[in-house]
Amino acid sequence: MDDIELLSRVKADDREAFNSLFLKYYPLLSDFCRFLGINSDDGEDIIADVFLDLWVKRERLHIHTSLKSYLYGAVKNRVYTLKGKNQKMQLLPEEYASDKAISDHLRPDEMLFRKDRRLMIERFVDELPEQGKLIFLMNWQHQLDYQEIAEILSISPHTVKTHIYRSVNYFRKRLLFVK
Amino acid sequence: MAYMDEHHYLLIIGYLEGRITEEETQYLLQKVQTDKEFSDAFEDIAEIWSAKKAVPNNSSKANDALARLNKKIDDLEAGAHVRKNGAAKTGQQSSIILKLRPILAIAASALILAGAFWLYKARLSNKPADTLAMAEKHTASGEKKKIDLPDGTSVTLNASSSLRIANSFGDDKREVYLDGEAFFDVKRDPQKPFIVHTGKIATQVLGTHFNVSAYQNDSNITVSLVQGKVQVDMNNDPSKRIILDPGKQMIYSKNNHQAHVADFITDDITGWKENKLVFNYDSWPDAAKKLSRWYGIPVLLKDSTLLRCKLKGTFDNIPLAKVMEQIRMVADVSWQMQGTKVIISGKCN
Repeated sequence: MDDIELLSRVKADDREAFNSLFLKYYPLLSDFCRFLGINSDDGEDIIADVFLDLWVKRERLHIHTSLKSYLYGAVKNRVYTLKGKNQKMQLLPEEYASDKAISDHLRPDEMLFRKDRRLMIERFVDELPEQGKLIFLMNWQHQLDYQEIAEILSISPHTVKTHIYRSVNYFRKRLLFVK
Repeated sequence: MAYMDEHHYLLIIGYLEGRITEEETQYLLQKVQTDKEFSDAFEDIAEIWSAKKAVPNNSSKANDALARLNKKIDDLEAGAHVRKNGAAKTGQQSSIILKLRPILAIAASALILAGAFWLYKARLSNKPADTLAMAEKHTASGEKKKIDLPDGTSVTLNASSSLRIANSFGDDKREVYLDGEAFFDVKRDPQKPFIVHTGKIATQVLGTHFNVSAYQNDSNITVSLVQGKVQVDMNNDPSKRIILDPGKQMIYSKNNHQAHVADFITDDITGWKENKLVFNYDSWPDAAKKLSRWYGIPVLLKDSTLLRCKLKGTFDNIPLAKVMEQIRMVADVSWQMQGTKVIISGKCN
């Protein structure tokens, strides 16, 4: 069943379809919260809130883009609201911090020695500027296309492409350094 | 490193994600083989894309979160129901919405979630319509054959294998179907991609030398790249596409339909072409099949304890009895001939 069919079932009060949608998008949205610097408990609250809202408003809900863009966009809006209210939210979540610690004590040449190119690329992603990193991760890891990313972040597809282009150039420059 | 324009980067990314058209793919394949800047960029981007990790999927966490959400919705709807009947306590609805983290976690097992997962049906067949009219080449057990294809590609076919050549070979693609093992030395032709079909795996060539092992009764399909570049697709699913670099092999397990990429030593994989019988950490069942294909007689395992061990070693074209003697000494097994069969027994350490 695709999103359109699931959503029409949700509109017809089908809780089973609602549960399926939740389980399908929870891992993605929870990872997306992590990109936005939100810890997993707050992330769960935000995602649950978005879905609660979806259920409560199901009959009068009009989604102009895709359900996927709608959900990501709704999560993003709530995260931004929360961040605006509470500066503490900007702290990186613990699991993220520990990832960083592992790669931080390795110099590029050591990583090359260990042939751990994967870890190295993860580190390069970490080095990107905030907005560039978010856009790159949405494209690279979540396989959202340029149009979807543009809708979710309310920016133009052109800007999305420019960010991806800059990130790739940055990685290539860093890769050259360790080749 | 020269900077390339945005269009070319996005084209390469589109290719790696399987989002570009056939026409764009042909353009890209040609560019990769003719333009050094482009092929450098392709290599870098392919490396970045292959470093991608899967999105973490902690299903017990998701189920817990769903259980808490469902509790919230149930409370909310119960509250709304009561209110409709005129006995509502004011403020119940809004207080539930505001209370974001419920104290009680409900066991996830309490929920029965049918249809929670999507199984993408793999397209079962990717054969072109004209499979009926094809040239076919076979080898018997113990036999090897070198085949020259009309485009200048040479294929060395290992024992007990068959290679079918599509009738449309050379029209706009060069497609072959392999059961067994073969080493391909593909003639470059950027206009006409060379594709080896082996069950659910399709290997498309961007470069030149590679080995494919896909015996029907083996548990794995292995694609090993010696030189150049190959693209391996599973089930026609572009998100599972793997681009191999030289010295890397993709091992696809038919049991769990998972693939992984590993390093290999060229002689271990292509030794058979030089008449070397190579066991490369093969399980005993796979080793027995290899022996039987190599020497053309049935090889049977008597003890199930043999399943616990793997075999590593290279034998220069020597008679079966000598190979078995050497294996016996190293691997602590015994063997005997029964009629035309070889029976291997032992406990193996």
